[in-house]
Amino acid sequence: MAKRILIVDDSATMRQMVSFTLTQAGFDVVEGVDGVDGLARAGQHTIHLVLTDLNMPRMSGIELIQSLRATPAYRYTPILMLTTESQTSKKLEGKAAGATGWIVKPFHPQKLLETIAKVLP
Amino acid sequence: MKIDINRFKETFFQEADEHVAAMESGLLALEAGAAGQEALNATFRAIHSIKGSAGLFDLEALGLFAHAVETLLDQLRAGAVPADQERLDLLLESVDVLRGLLAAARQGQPGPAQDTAALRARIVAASQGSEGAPQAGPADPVVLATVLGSCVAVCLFDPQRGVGGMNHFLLPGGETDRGRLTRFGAHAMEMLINEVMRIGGERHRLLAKVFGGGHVLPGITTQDVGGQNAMFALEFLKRESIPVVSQLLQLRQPLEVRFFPQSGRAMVRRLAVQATQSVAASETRYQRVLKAQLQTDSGGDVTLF
Repeated sequence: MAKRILIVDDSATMRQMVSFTLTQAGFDVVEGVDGVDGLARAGQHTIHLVLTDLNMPRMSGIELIQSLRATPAYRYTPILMLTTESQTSKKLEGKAAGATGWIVKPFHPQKLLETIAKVLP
Repeated sequence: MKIDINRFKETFFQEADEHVAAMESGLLALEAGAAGQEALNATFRAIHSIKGSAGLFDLEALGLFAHAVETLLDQLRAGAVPADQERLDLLLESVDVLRGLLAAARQGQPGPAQDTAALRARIVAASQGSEGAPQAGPADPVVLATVLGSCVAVCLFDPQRGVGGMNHFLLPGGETDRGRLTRFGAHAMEMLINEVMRIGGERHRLLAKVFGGGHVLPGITTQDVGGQNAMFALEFLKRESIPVVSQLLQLRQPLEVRFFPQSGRAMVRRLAVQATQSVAASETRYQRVLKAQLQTDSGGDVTLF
């Protein structure tokens, strides 16, 4: 069965681009338009990996990670941040919240897939 | 990587039907007095999704109408206007119109099946509270200024919140790979949107003004650098469903732009042709830097914790 990846980003463009990259590579994709929506989708589906943006309306990527980590089903699921932010302080914030890794946008499709392959259980 | 978004269209229509149904049941619950803030929020999210996707698939009539409905729901949500019977009736009426617009779009009809302008105008009127004009600094204490040749500046603002910002970018010329070509522009746009949101702007309320993209680089006649910049900015904003309320693009003279982010007011002055040379020279230099950066830039840096 194909692994399912949740993409959380408030940019429709970004969701389409990431989604296309992942479905081409054979993944199932679920999309969330912000942290609140992403959290709801995680409750509706079995998700094997989460890719989330940082700056989003209603609930940020950091808050989303904190909420997911507080959910038993998602305590160990790989979560990658996909964001334009590249400051070390932000990355440390992500790490403290429970992120598995950090990818700086604009992303390279091949690098994204390689990173996913590395962290997928 | 090329993306044909039409392949996602059927999914959009299925989702849109569900969103409209969700709106309808939310509104009926509100009318019955059985529901509170959460029903309003759910109704808002439904129309927000429809609007966003409509922009993605170039469904202009649907996007425009959905935007008006979304604004009214946002005002209701914020308590700026009362959720009275008149407004609920308007919204229920708009559910029928949305179904009509979706059906027309599904059959590939370019225009709306019915005239939606009148209802839209009533919805817009109902969104405006009695207090009238949105809050904005009376004296416009902040001004952002820039000079543009073939570069583009996007001014972004949330009129209700009275916050905004401006970027200024140039795409590297002579690049055939679209991903590489647009990388800097997409980055500049995303940084701007994120910053405006960080200082309190609401994404769905953002409006844009776009300036520049002129034909001022004399040395480069084989490629239209300014046009490329202008097209990129407009396409990006359209995809992100951010309405462009004003634009002045692709002129032969450089422009001086003054943007007042708190009110969203912009003043644009056309500079004399004599100024063209120095603006063009500095932009040509900048473009060389960008190209060099593109050569060495690996991008997409990965950190695993």
